[in-house]
This record gives sequence, structure tokens and C-alpha cells, in this order.
Amino acid sequence: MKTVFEFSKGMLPEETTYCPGCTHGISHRLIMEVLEEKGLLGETIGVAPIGCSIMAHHYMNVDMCESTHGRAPAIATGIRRVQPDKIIFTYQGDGDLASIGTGEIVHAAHRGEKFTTFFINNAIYGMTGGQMAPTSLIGQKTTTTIDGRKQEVSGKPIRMAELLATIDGAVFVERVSLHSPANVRKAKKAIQKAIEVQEKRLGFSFVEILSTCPTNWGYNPVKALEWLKDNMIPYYPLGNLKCPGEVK
Amino acid sequence: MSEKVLMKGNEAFAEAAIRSGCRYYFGYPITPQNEITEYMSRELGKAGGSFVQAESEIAAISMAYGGAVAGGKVFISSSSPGIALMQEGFSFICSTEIPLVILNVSRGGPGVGSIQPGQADYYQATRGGGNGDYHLFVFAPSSIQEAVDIMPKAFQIAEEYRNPVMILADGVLGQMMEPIILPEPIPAVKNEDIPKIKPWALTGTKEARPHNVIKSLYLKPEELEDRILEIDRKYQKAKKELVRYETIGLEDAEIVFVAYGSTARITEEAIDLLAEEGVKAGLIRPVSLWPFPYEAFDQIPGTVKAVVSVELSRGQMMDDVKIGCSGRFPISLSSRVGGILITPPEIAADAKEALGVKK
Amino acid sequence: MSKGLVKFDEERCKGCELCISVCPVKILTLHETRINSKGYRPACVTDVSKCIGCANCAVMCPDGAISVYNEAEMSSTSLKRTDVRKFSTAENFLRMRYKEEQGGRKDE
Repeated sequence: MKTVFEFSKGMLPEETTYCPGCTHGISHRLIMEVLEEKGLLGETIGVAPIGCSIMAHHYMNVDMCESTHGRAPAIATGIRRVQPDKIIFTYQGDGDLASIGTGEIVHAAHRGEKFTTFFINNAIYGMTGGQMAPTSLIGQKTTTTIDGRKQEVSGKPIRMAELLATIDGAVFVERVSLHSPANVRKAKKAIQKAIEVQEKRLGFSFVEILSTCPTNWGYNPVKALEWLKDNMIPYYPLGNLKCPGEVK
Repeated sequence: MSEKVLMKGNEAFAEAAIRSGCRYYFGYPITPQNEITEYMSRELGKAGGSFVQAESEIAAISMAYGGAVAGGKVFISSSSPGIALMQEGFSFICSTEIPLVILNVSRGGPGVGSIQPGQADYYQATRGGGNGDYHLFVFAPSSIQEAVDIMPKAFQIAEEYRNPVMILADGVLGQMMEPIILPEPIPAVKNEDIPKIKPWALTGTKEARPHNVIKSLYLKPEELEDRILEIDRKYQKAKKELVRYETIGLEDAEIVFVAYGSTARITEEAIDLLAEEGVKAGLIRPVSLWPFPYEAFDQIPGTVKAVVSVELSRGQMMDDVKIGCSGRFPISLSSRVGGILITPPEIAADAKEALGVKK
Repeated sequence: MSKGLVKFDEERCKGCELCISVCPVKILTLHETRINSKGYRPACVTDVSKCIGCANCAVMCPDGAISVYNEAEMSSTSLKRTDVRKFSTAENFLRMRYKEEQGGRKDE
């Protein structure tokens, strides 16, 4: 009798308060699976963002702290100075990282900080009830763009992976998606590589994870996966933008 | 080895922090405290510590929180507008009960204001610029020696209470030079000892203990109220244990000054000037601004005719002076702002004017 | 005897249907009559004999409600890891397993 899949012990037993079909549950689990498989659960410190996943520390079985909005990369920088041998990650949504936190993420990448950032891009502000995110698509209806996002008012959506890939200190940059089991498995591989980059202290590693927000998109969870595939991927192409030779 | 050295205030503050066991500093340049950041960039590494020039004060206070949640002894410094940027961080750090020492070399405000000294951060420091029920413990030295003596105590109080401590200096103290005796160096805590000393710190579970969580958000109101009341008990304890002040010549005074920081030293000169004219003046010099030494005002004899708050602000300390006086005396303000230092003759003139005022 | 075996923790399920949408042999559905204590109709298996043990369902489940094994018989060792979960989870799990072994639904 062989176990094909069991819930990682990196995930605490507490049931999440995330919406049905919210892919936070998947991305949380992937990160914890990778850390468990590498034997790093006891050596890891995580920084939760402001956003729905402020609750992440209820579910992730590693030392964690909450952060002020957008500041997780600076907080992780401080943690890294005091705990040079630990694995450190930040887990951030699109408001946290691509809006208020753009300064902090750019400078963490610029300094080549030796931690990993997981960027949950679901093209909307979830926790606050569905406002436009910097990553919301043109024409996307949100509570602050009820007629659809207009380029002349709000600009075009920001591609954080491409932006950070231009910075030398960011040595591993990949964009993945969670819209199908095959893509979820690819996402896990990217997370594995990102953590390896950190283990080898090669520089800043970044994984952008295209995710759904069924509640605020106004779709059921299955339709939300389709919407992601049909609308987000053409604008946010999947793939690795940068990878150091040591982990290829 | 307590040798007397002639040091610039800013550099002395930085050296005192290192000698207090601090090994982590995160700073952003801002006048008039840049010598602190520069000193740390040169010396902290030599002491085995870590210096980061942050991209902003917002990043600096966030890095400080990160270093402190990981168990490090962290010191940060800035000046008034930079401290304004850190207010969210202070509220957050008080709510998460994390120790930290902050030094404000205050300058004239409001806004970008002046790069010259000021004392208009009193409200910001003691009334809290961040949101919610919290307090920083605030100490105002009036000499470089007092500042470097307070520094190790500030770290000790921060760690004992698990609350940030602010040393409110001003641009005069930061830029002047005085001969001082630096505190004896305290060895830094070794990383492997952090879990023992700070079992709440984020050091990795080693899969041997439940995970530590540092949190500020409480969605259940009853939980948050319990938390606030628990933290408030620390503030009540601080009101009993952390009050510090100095009084001079209250016993036979006609008029009492209240002044802190560099202004207190200027006021002492004014007291001498008034004495030459036969006017007896006393001084209450708060050293702890929060908790404020209201009890000192009980020592003012009933024969005193007026109390004058001397500040490089438009009277931010007067609310506390009024509370301390409990209506017993008329209170007035002697002030210069804009980065101008008030002079002893100006203070003396304001005092004489106050004495002409009927209760 | 099926190649794969899936176990659903009905209490953890939020009825999001992601698992149903990715099952290649289409043997998953929301339960027709049962509602869990959260008010959702939990996902369940219609015909476990067709399960190929691909674990697509478990990979897509955001709530850790699904475990996948690749033989029909449960050995006692495999129970140990699930025992560390919350009591209600283990209880439901054992209840489901008991029902499987008895060849049908016992109650409810």
C-alpha cells in the first residue's frame, strides 16, 4: 500500500478560512511540501503579508510573523541579518508587492537579498473586497473600475516578474500558474528551484504564481481557473525568466 | 576602561548603542543625524554586527522589526520627518511586543521644516503618531553624557518590557561635541543563545517546538481587547517604574520653568540671569517624557506664582504641564521655533512677563 | 480491485469542485444529500474502482481534503500519518473506511 498523496506535515491541520476554490490553499501547500521534502521546515522563517494570506501563519507550520503592508521584503532583510543560516521567504499578494510594496521588493532584489519571495498574482485585491490591483487586466471589472480598467486612467497592468528580472540581484525569476494539475506540478518545481537558489545563497529568488480569486472575480472556482488561463496567461506569460547555472 | 573622550553627539550615540550590545542597525540618511548612520556603517561590522542602508525610513523601521523578531538587538535612528514615516512601524512593533531602541535627533518642523534643532516632536513621540492604543517609552537627555548613560538602560527596558524605547535627542545634542565617558561595553548575545533568552523569537522550530507566530491582527474583538489590556498593564507598570526627572531650586522659587533636552540647559542659564535680578526661579526637567513625571509638579510650593514651559515648539508639552499643575498655577509658554534656539535673556524676559500675570 | 484509492475528508471540503473538474476518469461529484458542518456539499467518489491514482484531485484541492493511495487495501501503517490530524478528521476518515470495508453505507 503506497501513499501517492497525503497532506504535507508542513501544513497545520487547521482548516483555512479562504474562500472555496481559492488557490492560496494550493500555493501554501506547495511551498510547505517543498520545505518538508528538503527537511527545511525547522529551519524556515516566513513573513505573511497584508491581504487574505495574513492568515498564512494559521496554516504554515514554520515560524512566521505578520508584516505591515508591502514591507515584507524589508522585514525579511532584517530577519536575514540576524539569522544568516535560516531559510526565509515572503508570501505576498498583488497589493502588498506590486502596489504599496514596490519600493521594498525592488530594493530587496537590487541588494540581491538571499531570501525567496512568492508573489500571488490574482489580478485583484481580495481581502478588501475586490478593488483594482496594479495587476488587474484592461477591461477587468473591479469595485473601483466598475466599467472595466481603462488604460488612460490606470495605466496598463504591471508585470512584476519582468520588472524584477531586469535587476542583477534577482538571480531566479519565474512565473507559474495554478490553473491545472500539470501547471500546479510545474509551479512546485519552480518553488523547489527558488528554494535551492536560496540554499546555495546565490541571490534573490522570485516566483510569481498566477492565482484565482473566484469570489471577487465573480466566477465559480472552476470557471475562475478558465478565466485565468484565457485572460491572464496571454498577458502574463509563463516560464522562467532567469535561472542561475547552479540550479538549472 | 572608562576614558574621557571628546565626541560629537551623533557619533557618541552610535558608539553607546554598540557598547550596549546592539549589533544591527538599519538607517536612511537624514539631516541632522547622518553621522549616526555613517558611524554605524564603519564601526558596526568591526563589532561583528550588520549595517544596512535602507531605501527609506519605512524600509528601515520594517528591517528593524524583522531583525528584532528574529531575536536581534536592534538600534535605529532618524530625524523628525523620518520618524514621521516610521509611525506605522512603531504602532505595529508595540502591538507585536518587540524590543527596539529608536533615536530621534529632532529638527524643526512641520513638514520638511528645518535642518536646525527643534522640539516639536513631543506630540509625535508621546501621543503616538501611529494608530491604536500604544505608547513608546520616551527619554529626553539634555547632554551627550546623559544620552550615552541612558542608552544601555534603553535596551534593557526595551527587552524587559518588550516595547520600543525612544531616545528623543535634538539637533543640538546630535551636532555638538562634549567630553564624555562612554559606557562599558556589554557583549553581544550569541545567536545560539537567542532561543533561551527570547523564546518568542523567530529562530526556526527545529521541528522540536510549535511554531512561533508574531501577529498584530486579531479578527475576534474579544481577543484583541484582551491583548490591548494585557499590553496596557505594561504601560501602567511603566508609569510607576520608568518616571525620571530632575528638579532644581523648587523650594524657594517664585517661578518654575519646565524644560527638557538642550532647552533645559539654556533655561539653567536663564535661572542664573533671573537670580542676578533677584528673581528666584526653579526648574523641573523631565527626563522621561512618557511616562511624564506628573508627580514632580506636586513638589512645586504653593507660593510659586507662575509656571513657564520652555520649548522649541509652539507648546506641545504644555498639556502635560497643565495636568501636572492641576490648576494650581497659571502656565505660559516661552518658545522659539523654525530652528532658532531660544536664548537665556529671552527666557528670562518671558518669565518676568509671566510674573506680571495675575492668577 | 482499483489501482488507486482516494479518501475525502468531508469536513474539510468546501465544495469548490476543482477536484471534480480535473479528474480524468470523471468519478468525482458533490454529494447529493450530505452537507457538512460548514454547509457545503462535500466532494466524494462515485466509483472508486475506476480510480487510477493520478492524484490530480489532491493536487488541485486547496483544503487538504484528499488523500490518494495506489492500492485498495489500507495497511495499518498508512493510518498513522492521518492520525495526527484533528479528531473530527480522523473520525470521519475511519468512518468512511469502515463503510468501504462493509461494502456500502451504514448510516446517514
